Amino acid sequence: MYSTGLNGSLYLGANSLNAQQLAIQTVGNNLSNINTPGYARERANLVENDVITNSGGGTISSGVTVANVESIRSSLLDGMVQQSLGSQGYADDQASLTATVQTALGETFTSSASSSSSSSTTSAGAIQTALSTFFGSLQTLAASPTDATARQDVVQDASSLATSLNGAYSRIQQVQSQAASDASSITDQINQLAKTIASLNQQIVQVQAASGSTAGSLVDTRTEDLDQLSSLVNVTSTTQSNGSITVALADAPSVVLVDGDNGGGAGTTQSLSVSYDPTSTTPLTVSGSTSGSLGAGIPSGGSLGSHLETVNNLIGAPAADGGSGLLAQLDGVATSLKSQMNTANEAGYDLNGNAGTAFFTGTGAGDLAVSSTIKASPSLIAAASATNSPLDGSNAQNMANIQDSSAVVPALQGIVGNVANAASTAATHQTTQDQITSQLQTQQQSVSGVSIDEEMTNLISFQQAYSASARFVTTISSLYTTLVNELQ
Amino acid sequence: MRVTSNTYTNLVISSSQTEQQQLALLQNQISTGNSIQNPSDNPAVYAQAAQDQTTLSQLENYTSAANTATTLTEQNNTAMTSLHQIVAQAGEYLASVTSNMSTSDMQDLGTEMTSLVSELTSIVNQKGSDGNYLFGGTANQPPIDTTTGDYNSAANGTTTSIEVEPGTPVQTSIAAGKPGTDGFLYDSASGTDVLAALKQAASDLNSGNATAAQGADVTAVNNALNLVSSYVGSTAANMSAVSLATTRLSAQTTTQSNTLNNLVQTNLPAASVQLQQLESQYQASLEAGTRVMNLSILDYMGTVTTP
Repeated sequence: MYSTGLNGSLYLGANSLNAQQLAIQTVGNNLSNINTPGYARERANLVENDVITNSGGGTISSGVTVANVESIRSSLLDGMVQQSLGSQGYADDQASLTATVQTALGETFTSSASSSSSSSTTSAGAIQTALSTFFGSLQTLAASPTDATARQDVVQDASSLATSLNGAYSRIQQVQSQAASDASSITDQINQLAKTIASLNQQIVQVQAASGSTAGSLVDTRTEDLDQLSSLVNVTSTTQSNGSITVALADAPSVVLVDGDNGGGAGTTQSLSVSYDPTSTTPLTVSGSTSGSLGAGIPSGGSLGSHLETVNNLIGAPAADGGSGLLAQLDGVATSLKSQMNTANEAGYDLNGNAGTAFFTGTGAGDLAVSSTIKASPSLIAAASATNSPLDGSNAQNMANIQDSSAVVPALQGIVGNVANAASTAATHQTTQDQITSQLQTQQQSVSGVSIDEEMTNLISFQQAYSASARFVTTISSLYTTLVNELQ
Repeated sequence: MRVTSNTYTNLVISSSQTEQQQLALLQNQISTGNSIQNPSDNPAVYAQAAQDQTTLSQLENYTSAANTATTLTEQNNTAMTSLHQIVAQAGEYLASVTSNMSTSDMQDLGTEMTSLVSELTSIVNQKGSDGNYLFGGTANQPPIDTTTGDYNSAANGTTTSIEVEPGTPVQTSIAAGKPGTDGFLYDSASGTDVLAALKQAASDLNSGNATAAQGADVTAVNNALNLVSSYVGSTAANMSAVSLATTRLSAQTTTQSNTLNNLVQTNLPAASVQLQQLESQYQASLEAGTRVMNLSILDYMGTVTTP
């Protein structure tokens, strides 16, 4: 209850001291959290106290008070940053995963000094080099069909080619398996974050109901957690009237991850899990705890979306399992090579005058191998086109000419090119998305970020106001003293 | 736009990251000598370079095949030239026969003629450095049975070729042939039989049959000389074809190699200049960032005086 007179003035001074002190404390809180992720600067909103009627007539204001301490946020920018982080998570992981797949394929350029000249020679990767060497060996055999060394070279180079394909295939399968395992970890993080956000929801609702003002630091923490969740999977969030938020998958709105104080599978919410079967047409699928499998390509964003894209589309299932990705394409090259080589070898005659047999065995790139009988006895390579013609190498030339088949070398180059394009596009997308996120975060910082200069200026201002208020109280106190002394 | 304290920090980190990535890329390009390492560095360049690399490998394989073809065609031509000399010598022996030549002198010529048949057999049955019979077709058999001195039925007349350029085979073996199978010793169209001609001439000379030696034998040896001459020409043509192909392959390999290197290898002068520019840019960026970040109102705040 305010009044005029000396008592009222004393109250006025005391209120001002309290208000400036709280404002100074807010400045201190801002400065101490300047580097805290997700922190939004706070502002003590000072308001003038109610006007009171002066007993001598007229009205007079009765000082200042802190209406509330407000977190300075832009819900628009917060939402845009959240969406951008979902795209950023996808772009970051996609760039990383495609680069890893490319490395696993092993078709990188290398240079080495040429023995025949001062210049350097360039080779375009293990499999392509192995293919060139193998067909070169066959060409040498065509010219020297009785040469045991030439025959041994063909077997050796064919084995190296098969090993290169086997190795690349195995490495890519390992990348796929690792990506699937990472996806499982990601769903664990998503479920944990959903629970954390639900817990924060509960606290925010309680604080806001009790104090009537926003729970600044709790909202900051929840916003930071929501940003993390968005980078893991693309979600939509809706703020409820009680201050809590509801979070659902953007691609499947019925899959609610957080609802009030429920999250991660509690109540009506769902937890996520993944299942991985490398022999399935769609090797990696995400399921909701009650919805079941969410279907191919869902979710499509965040780290989880990127892992789904890489495992299911870029790498895919083997050809035998109906896949069409990298593994299936490598299977296609291996199968075509095997088929054409076997047909050619079976059409010719070996060094002993007998009809040729299958040159390669295996069902795809993963298990392509040189026939064990030919490996044990290179004389069984059917270099001749006619029986009992040991000096005839024309069938070996037919085999060497398989290098011109569009289904072998050009097909392999196409595969490497596809992976290169995917990696290049992902890297470009990552750079672009990085810039977008960076710009949005800068804009978000321009609203919510802490400026030392600004805070220090405010500090001086509040400090001076505090000092002035203190001097005011001192003056009123001296007036009291004067009054009491005069009355004695 | 409102600028906060972390804006400067974020800008410095962001620009520093970008510049360091570019510096790392350039450093890699200069140290490895390749402008692209991974296909994704430049997919379009990779696609072209991979095709060039395949073409280059094929050219190298064809060059190796052409080298083998050079050796074989030279062997063939040398053998045919020697054979031509033998048959020509046989013709000279027959030309020296006169109607009044003594039987003894004719027998001496017959002995020489028999030696020529031995030399012919030696040339025709010769083996290459790999131990294979050069002129027995693809059967790897001696064309002349040294026991009987007649054609070996196990030999065949199949010749072989080597592709010295894409789709361009060059005949790298010639067959001696035998009755019923054409070759440089036998031609069914003209009925020429080189071995039989020399053996018959030796027989007639040894038996003192001057009439045959001056008539039918001369005709037969002349026909044999014509047949062998045609093979000297064809083997020389094959040798020339291989030589021309080798020259073309060498030129194509050089061109293709240069194209690939230009495409893939780092342009060192340009990369060095770019590195210097980037270094300067990075230094300027760091200096600007450090200067701005050091500015603070705290440096200008003294003790706040109370009013």
